[in-house]
Amino acid sequence: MEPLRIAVCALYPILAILAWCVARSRPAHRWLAAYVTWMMAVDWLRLGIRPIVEAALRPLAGVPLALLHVDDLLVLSWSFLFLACCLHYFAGRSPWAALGAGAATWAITLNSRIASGEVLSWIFQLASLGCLMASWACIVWGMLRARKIEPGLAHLVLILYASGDVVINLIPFAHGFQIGWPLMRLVSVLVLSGCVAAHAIWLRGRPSVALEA
Amino acid sequence: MWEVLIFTVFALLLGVLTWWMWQQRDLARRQAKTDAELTALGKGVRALAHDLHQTLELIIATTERARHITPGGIPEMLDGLEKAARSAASLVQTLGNGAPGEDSAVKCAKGIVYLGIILVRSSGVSVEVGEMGSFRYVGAEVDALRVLQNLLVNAVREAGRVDGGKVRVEVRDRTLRVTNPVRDPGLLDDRIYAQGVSHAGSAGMGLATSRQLAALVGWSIRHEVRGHEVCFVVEELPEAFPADRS
Repeated sequence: MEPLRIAVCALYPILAILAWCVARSRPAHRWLAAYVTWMMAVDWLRLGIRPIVEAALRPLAGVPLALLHVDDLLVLSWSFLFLACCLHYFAGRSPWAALGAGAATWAITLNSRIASGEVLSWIFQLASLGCLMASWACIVWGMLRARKIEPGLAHLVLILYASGDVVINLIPFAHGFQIGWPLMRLVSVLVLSGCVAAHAIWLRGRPSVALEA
Repeated sequence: MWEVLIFTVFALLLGVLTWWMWQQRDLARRQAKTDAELTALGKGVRALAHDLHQTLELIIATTERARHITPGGIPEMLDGLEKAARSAASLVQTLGNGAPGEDSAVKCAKGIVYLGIILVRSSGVSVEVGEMGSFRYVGAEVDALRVLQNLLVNAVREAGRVDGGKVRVEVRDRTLRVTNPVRDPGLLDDRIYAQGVSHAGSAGMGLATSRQLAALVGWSIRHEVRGHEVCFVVEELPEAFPADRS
């Protein structure tokens, strides 16, 4: 496994552990901790799924085809669950709209006649861009208009993710998907390192915090 | 690769800066809100202390007059003292309870008007009671009492400075009128409702606070100057009471 991939796989569990440590004393942080845990699980799941799909004979059928669709769902979950978190933390809205949109997009990818090759690639890119723009809209709205929201660690982590996502989404346009993939992992490593540092600083700065009611 | 690295670090730092600026703005907004609440609390406490002081002065004046009172006047004096003491107790209780009650039920103010009149009668100034029609209020009884007490105490004080001065209280057409003579009517402009301005040597909080409290109990306060007399007019606000005012 390449070094950047190892770094990502190592940083995610650390971040998940730290996030759940924070969630013990800040129950509102648990949704972000759950998202980070899901991202970690997705990474490990895809490590097992991708080799099976890539090694299977074309055209795919049976278990390899089902695993491909599961892989598509896992990839789409990165963007739509992130949007759900932004809706929850910045706009105070229910995340069901984001989850519904994600389910609808995945349903489109199930149709192999429509969603294959370049079309499928465009679907993923559009979904990623759309979720990123909607997420930034939530972030900006939360910062400028929402009075009841108090900026916290979860908001910082989501802003770091969103900032890194801007770079990640620009890379395919600059370098193409295949060449840009290692660069995307580099960005992920930097973002995860920043999130780990943020959690560590928060935990260090507040050694004993009373549980919220 | 290096440009991606630099661009990513720049983007992350920009994100951190954005979050930090948002946090600072939020902290400043919360601090300003807390400061405003503390200032309002301080004003509320000073206003209540002012009204409490007025009530206690009435009690003192009544006890001083007790040395010269006839046996027949003792029951009325004791009744007035009791009511003044209850009024002071209500004011102290308001300090402990904080903000005035949010009770929106419409209540009859006649009893409070009579209580206010009894309290000031013990000061020795003649208080005439004219027609006592229907007059209502909403919200906390203590707020309505504070408004009336302030108007009546001011009226009695000014009337006491004029030889043979009398105070007249009447309620007609849902309007309470407190009329008293004044030595210098030229001082009675709208500045009397501004805090910190007083021509009578007091703290200058009474009428300003009374106007705010009046709004809470469904009243408006204004005054009319006629020659060497001033009449404070307290009217029911239409929006605070039902349309069927029978």
